[in-house]
Amino acid sequence: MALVKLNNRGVRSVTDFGGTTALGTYKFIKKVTASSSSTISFVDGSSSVVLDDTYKEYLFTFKNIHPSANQNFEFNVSIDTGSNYNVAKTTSFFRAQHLEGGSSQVFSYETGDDLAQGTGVARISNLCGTENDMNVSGYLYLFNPSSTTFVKHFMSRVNSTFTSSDATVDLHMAGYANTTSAVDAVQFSFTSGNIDAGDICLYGIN
Amino acid sequence: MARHHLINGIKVPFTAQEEADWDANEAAHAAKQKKTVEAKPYIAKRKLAYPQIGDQLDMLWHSIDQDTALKSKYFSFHQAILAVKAKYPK
Repeated sequence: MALVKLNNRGVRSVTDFGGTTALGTYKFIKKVTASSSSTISFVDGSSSVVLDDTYKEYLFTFKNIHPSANQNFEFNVSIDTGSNYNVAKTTSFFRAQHLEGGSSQVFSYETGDDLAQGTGVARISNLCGTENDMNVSGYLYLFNPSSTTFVKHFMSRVNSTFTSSDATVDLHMAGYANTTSAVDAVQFSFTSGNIDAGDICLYGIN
Repeated sequence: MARHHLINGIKVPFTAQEEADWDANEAAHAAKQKKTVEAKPYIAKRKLAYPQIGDQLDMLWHSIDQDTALKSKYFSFHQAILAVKAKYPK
């Protein structure tokens, strides 16, 4: 097939591009925008949300997640399409931090923010401030949630504006849901109060 | 104000039971916060302000290094650090 040189006019006239589905791609699945919401959930099987064996890897992105109270941004997973969010999880959690004033550079493991077979929420970010410009942004990967053989690994990295101290805090969490049942729903929330604003997008990765 | 879940982008109001459970959780959390953060506001500030552990240990070693009695008391610690300093001099 002859190569055709593309120009603006040519691209503007295109009605369809050739398939590239065999390539490794991020496939956008769903965007949810918080509006003073207590929880945000992604449940497989409705409203165009897919969280099954269609993809071996899923990515959640967090943009400007703003809390109504100074609290921790957290998540949990379900194996019964969201009826219960109570799967046992073991996680690790560490942070790097720097204050606006140039002091208090810290790199530390956070023993109070991890889980050891906890069935409650797993912490993604610790205390985010509520000032109008404060928020949490970042991402969480969930690997092969539909496996009935393996535990389900996940890892997140977010940056947060730390409560009342004008600090940037780079937060790393990783762990696994200790189940060989398929995980088919994920829920996000703050320890208390609401998710006032912000977007969470879900992508599948081939 | 009535709370809601946002499930796949669709608002789902809390049930009465969920409202009660959430209220109880918030009350318990507030009580815990009051006990810790509000009663001791310096905890979070100190956590952010302390020097890194390595810097703290370095200060400790130099304090020990300036005191003969402490050098003897914490001999192993002092000598272990001193050996590294001797191996890689400034």
